[in-house]
Amino acid sequence: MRLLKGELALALVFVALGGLWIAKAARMSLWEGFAPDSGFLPLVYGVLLCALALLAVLGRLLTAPAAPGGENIRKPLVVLGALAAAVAALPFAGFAVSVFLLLLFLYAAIERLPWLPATTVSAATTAVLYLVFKTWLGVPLP
Amino acid sequence: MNPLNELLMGFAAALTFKHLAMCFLGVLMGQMVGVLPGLGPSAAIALLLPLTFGADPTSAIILFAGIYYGSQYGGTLTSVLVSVPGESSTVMTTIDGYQLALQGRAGPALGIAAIGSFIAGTLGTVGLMLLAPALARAALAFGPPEYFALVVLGLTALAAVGSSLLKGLVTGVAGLLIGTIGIDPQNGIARFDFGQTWLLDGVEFIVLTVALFGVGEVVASCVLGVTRPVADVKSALPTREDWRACRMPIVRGTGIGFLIGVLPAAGATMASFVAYVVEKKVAKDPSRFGRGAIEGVASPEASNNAAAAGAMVPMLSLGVPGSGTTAIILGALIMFGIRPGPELFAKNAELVWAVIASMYIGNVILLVLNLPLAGLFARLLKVPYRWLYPPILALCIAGVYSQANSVEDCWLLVGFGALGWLMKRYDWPAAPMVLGLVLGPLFETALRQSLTISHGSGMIFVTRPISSVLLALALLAVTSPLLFGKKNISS
Repeated sequence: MRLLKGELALALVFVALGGLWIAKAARMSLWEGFAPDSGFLPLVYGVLLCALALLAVLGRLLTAPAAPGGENIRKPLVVLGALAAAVAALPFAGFAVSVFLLLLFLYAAIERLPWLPATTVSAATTAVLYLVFKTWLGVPLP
Repeated sequence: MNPLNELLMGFAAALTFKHLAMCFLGVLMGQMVGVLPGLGPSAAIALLLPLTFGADPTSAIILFAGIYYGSQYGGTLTSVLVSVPGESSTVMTTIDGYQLALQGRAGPALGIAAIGSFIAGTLGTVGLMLLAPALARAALAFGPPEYFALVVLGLTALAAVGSSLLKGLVTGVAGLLIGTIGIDPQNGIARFDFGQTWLLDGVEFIVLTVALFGVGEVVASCVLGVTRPVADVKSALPTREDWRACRMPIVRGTGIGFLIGVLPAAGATMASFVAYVVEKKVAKDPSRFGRGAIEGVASPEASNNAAAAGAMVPMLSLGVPGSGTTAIILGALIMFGIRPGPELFAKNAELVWAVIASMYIGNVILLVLNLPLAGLFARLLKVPYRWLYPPILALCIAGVYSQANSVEDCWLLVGFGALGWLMKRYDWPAAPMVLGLVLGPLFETALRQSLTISHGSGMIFVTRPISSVLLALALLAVTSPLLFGKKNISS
């Protein structure tokens, strides 16, 4: 049933987002003269998002339940976590070190590839990105 | 200036070294992303957006268009050789293409697909050249109510393209909602910034697109298993009999594909499905279909390529994308400061005609690449995904950071990337969200201007003929899946 729960959670994220917009937009000016003001469309979007996402939840609950979920969600979560860690390290470790460690972690620890090719490809990829963005495009990478 | 002169002007621009190189690079990359697992044309264009930021818009759009139609060729390889459609539009090719590969005829199947795609792509571009400017001229009289109705049509039509209309509408509205973050363009008031100064500029199109299509797709695909056995490709040249059997299916597939591609709510997948069904209906011996009928490859392949050209018609002339990938190209045009829609042909004629001319050139390049090099591209299928996805993630970080030199944007990348993964996992379409973000400001401005013109009366949208027709089409896009049971068709 993991698939069903996951999809319901996704739909509820949209419901929550809509609710947040309704709460904030309701405190803004809705109409000015003949035309809508800053809060009007965000309020409409919030109401629509809540209603449509709730309809999607209802539709999902009314359809046949999903087969017991045996999908691997650990790996995507670890990959996302590694991405978040690399972003967190950007201001302190800089672009080159963060990205190199991210690549090395994914190749060597997650994919269990041999250390030598993993290190070589990680270093080469980091060097190419650094050259393209820093040298060629002039981006002030951290 | 007549279309022929404008096309010649377009060829003069497209044949310059810079644009020719972009066209070659685009179709080559399109071919490769069509073949490689876990990476589609939308993700490829999303990843390249940061690199093209600040570049010549004509070169960039030639590159993106090349990736779009080039991927239609590439998707065929996986369908025929490993029975895994590279793109949803090549699902129908899998049925007979893989059977032909099992019979040792993978080469002729790929050859006839390349020839059919070339003919359809070229004829589709002729259709685009004739239809789009006429449609744009007719739409030049558009005012704020018509633009408002166009955005409604664009969002509903794109929502209707996916597997579930409701999910498409949810993500489209979510995109509009995210588009309200930042300064209100009308009165300068800060909205939904949650006290964070870096949110005052709003969420950038590139950040959302790279997150949903780059990170989201990579994280969803990183669980892909080992590569599958790949059929051998010897000669990709079809025999005389193959060609004789496929001539009319290619012509029929082209017509069907172009017409369906032009419709905003349809797209290449539906076009290839209809073309396959029609071919089976008109065949003398329908029982051959599903067992390796070469017409079953030729017609859907011609159809999906003609549909790719057809989908450019509403995108270039009205600013209404016919598919997820054209939605991203539309966003790229706005990123370059070019307003897609009726004025595009008048104000940016050089860009539009250069892109159209490059499509003729790109189709020739693809034919030349595919006939002798099909075997070489087939080897790409043997590259394991575990070697591919880490550099893509690194490129996502570099690309998003480079937009505003902002680490906060990289955090948005992680957040929206996680959302993109969940959306991909549960089949919630991401393209409507990107389109909602891109068209949100135009939608809000058009609504405000329309209501100011009408002194607050909403009747302005239904009393003006063009606006009412566009809104009726939007209503049709929403109701047609319910009326015609689209879900059943797609399944």
